[in-house]
Amino acid sequence: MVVETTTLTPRDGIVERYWAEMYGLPGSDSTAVEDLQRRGRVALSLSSIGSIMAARLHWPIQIVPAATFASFPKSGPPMPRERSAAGWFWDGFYRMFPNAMGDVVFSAVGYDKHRTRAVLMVNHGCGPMCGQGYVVILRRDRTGWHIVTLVITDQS
Amino acid sequence: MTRPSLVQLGAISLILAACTTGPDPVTRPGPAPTHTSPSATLDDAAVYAAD
Repeated sequence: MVVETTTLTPRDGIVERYWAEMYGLPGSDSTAVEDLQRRGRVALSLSSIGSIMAARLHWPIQIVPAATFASFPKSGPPMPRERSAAGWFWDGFYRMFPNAMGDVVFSAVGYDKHRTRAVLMVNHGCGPMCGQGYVVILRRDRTGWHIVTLVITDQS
Repeated sequence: MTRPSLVQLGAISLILAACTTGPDPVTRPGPAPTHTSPSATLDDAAVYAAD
């Protein structure tokens, strides 16, 4: 399940340090990071490119409106100790998408001035205390875009 | 931040692969998209699907 709109680039202090670190990642380009910050100020819709992504990926994906995720419960009767309150959200998620293995949220893509390097953030959630966040840096050559750096920014 | 292991140096597509739906998602479509946001570009699609 791919969330239909890109996330806004984070502005809170916890994630701010990643901006500084992004400049130093292998393959990073300062203009691409700055472009990510700029493009990430507005949520972009992925609906129009969902079919293109699906065709390239060879795996079935489904673009899901962010409002659908927002409709899942955020609280309820106390969960067992091993499950956090986020369990209510994920119960709702898997009731609606029983065969899914989680959700993916993309940020906008930031490009360098030559449009041969790109940087973005990706978050994959799969349940309470289950998920990973990544910063991904890519480079384009004659054959297309390729990942050159993938860094885990958070994990649970 | 931690540096990725070789295993983690996969692809965004691998991340997406972990999020595949069942074998026939067409039979169980999600709610209709309601997009008032500006759209991502074709270039973006190539990046999101990169490996």
